[in-house]
Amino acid sequence: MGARYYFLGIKGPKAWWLIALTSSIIMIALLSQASAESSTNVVITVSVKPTVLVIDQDQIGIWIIKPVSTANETKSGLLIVRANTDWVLRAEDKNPETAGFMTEWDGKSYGAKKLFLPLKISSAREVTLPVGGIIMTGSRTIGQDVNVNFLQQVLDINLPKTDNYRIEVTFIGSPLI
Amino acid sequence: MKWRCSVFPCGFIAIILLILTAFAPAEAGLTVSGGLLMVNVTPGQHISHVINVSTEKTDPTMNIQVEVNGFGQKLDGANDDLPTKLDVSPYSARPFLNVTPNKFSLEPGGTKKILLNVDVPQDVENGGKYALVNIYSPPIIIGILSVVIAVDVPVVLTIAETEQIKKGEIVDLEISKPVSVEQQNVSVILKNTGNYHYKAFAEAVLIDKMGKILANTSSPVSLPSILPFTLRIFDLSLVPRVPLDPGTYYVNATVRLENNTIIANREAAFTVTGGGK
Repeated sequence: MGARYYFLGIKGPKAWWLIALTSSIIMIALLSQASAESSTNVVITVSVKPTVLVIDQDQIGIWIIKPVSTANETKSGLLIVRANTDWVLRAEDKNPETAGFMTEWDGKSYGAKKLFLPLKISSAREVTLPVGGIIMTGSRTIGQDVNVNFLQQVLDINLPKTDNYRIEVTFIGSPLI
Repeated sequence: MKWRCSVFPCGFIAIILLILTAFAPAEAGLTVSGGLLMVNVTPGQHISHVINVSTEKTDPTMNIQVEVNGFGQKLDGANDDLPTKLDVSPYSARPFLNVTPNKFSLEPGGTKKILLNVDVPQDVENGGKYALVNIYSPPIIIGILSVVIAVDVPVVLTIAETEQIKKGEIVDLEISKPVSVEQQNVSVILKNTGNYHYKAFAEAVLIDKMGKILANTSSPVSLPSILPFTLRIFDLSLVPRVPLDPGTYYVNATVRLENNTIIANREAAFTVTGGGK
């Protein structure tokens, strides 16, 4: 249950500094690389919170999307469900400010600009926000990992490179009736 | 049963649901016991039900919100918590319920008792009555994501000694266009027109003009149960042994309860043209 504060073999607060530094280097490198590519390659850099690094050592917490491909950009996460009955897990976006779309985020509040297509979430099933739906059902368990994938297709090619986007996702567990 | 009592505290209907986000800054979760209220009630009866909400010591302090909503369902069966103005079902139990407290702060490792009070009216009608108690964490910021974790506590009241009517109507039967000669994808939308929830499954048969059966298929049993006044979609695929020749064909769809009782039937026709694919 404890958070995993390891990074490159370093444990504790020092790991955060190393993670932040590494993230910055990677982000700058990726942005430089993107600038060197075709001028139509606009890179969306989402905001980085070092704390997201507790997910896994190989996840840097930035999701850089190149909106020149029709393929889905993906990111994954993990939920754990414990239940002593049959259960159902659903995902949706209840926040009217984001309403299913990654929305411009200035660090404090959402702006008006949104990506053109809504975010999709998949586990056993794929759903599209904001309505969402059931992504997994299961039976009684003392702890079941539910791998969750976030899929975003980006078609907007004129977005500034400096834009940050955020979305609110609600995961709701319930006994199955 | 031994497992259930050793891992989870007993004394409720023994339902606990815990969700942990492993991608949270510090893993955050909600544990909810007393997570289902499913009882027989009589007109005028009062019930108190305890729901315990707790967190782990490693979780952050959370401001928890509790709401009582109407119990709707989306087409795929997902719960749909309906606020008062959208809760128009005659089978709603929402007006009978209230929770105390509906907002509180939960310290790491803390537990809070929520009291759900149910007052069944004297003039309550037959069948089942339904509501949802929604328990939400505040948004937890995880990089690009702001994640809320929540647990729904379904409330299912059965009015004792009244008739439970389980019936339905197929309100839409659609064959995906353009029609393929090799596989016909069919959507069946059922409306529960009874006064009680049930589990059901759908079957479909592909028939030619002469009445010959060319393919058949069935869906799994619906999960979750279909509540009265709600719609449920069943997606089916029919695959005839040989591709269809040009002509007119029929899809006959039937929805049955778990015990095989037929509750709804509908037929639709489609045409395969010369250049069909």
